[in-house]
Amino acid sequence: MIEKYLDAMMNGDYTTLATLFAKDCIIRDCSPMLLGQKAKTICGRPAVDMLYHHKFVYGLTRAAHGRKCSETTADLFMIQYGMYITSVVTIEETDRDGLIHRLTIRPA
Amino acid sequence: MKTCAITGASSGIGAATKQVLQKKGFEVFNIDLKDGDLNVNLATKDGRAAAIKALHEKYPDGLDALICCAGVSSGTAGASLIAAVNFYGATQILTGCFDLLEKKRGFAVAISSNSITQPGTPMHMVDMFLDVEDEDYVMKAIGDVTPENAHSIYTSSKYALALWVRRHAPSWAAYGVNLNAVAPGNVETPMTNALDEVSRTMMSALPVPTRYGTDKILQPDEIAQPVAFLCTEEARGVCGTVLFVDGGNDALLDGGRL
Repeated sequence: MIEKYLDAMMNGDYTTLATLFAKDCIIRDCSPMLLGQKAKTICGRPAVDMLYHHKFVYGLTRAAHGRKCSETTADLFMIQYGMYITSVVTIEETDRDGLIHRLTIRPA
Repeated sequence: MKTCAITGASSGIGAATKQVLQKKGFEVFNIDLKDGDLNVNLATKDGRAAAIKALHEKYPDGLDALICCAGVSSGTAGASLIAAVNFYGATQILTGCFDLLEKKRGFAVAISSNSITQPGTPMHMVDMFLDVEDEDYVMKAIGDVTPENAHSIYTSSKYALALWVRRHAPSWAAYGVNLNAVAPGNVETPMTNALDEVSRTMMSALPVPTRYGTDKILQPDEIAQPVAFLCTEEARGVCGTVLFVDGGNDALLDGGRL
């Protein structure tokens, strides 16, 4: 699943990205803190779809490079608002269908 | 006939909302500690589970609206009860009944408070409510809050509830359920009538522009009408909003921000 996540992020494919998540998923994204912003929490698969659609199309977020570290973690190098950010992505929990229920993005 | 479940409709804003909705043709089911159609204690996990189960049994085809109005204040309750009812009592009922709302493309409203914008709201407590999913852990931490600081738990629980609504509203809307919050100002209710003298003095010093020249505060019906509106198709375009219904208090005290 972490590989599918990385592929979707690298390709800017918000539609596929959303399908990896459970209906009641939670993404806790702490990477904006590196830019002096607050951490963001995204709740629900449609929100993942809509928000990443917005971020990718507006060029607010772009994954420059991703590296799988384990079955549940990856390093993700992103460009957000023009700034280069390194993060660690962790699939904290999946549901019984194997979809991501909880994902955390921490600044590296 | 449209159906609506309300927590805390035995008195105050909830009771007024029930009346407004009944006049609009809704069948209203009241869940409260007493004098309800179902009497449960929403401060407890068992109480919330019983409420969710009862609603599923009574409305298997879905709910048109759900309003979480049950709440307690620092003038009448300690920190733990405030947290348990105001935040968990609302969010868990909403989460537990989402499927019923989804069936009917229903509307959900959580009652927050206009006190959330007051300076001094402990944001670390707001974050704890929102991001620490272990209720027992949070309740244990809140257990250390002294009675004098219970108001900080009131504002943080209501703030967290408003943010919880905003976090979940977009996805809920994608599934056809409109979720919003209403932030009432001070209202003449049993809760505010039971405040201690210090709290009442503080409350009277909060201006209500629509009541300028009097010492009166808002009436429950003034809150009930907007809440009921948010449960109708006319409000389908309203999503994830925290609607301040406080007679202009927040605009006066903090009109420099949105």
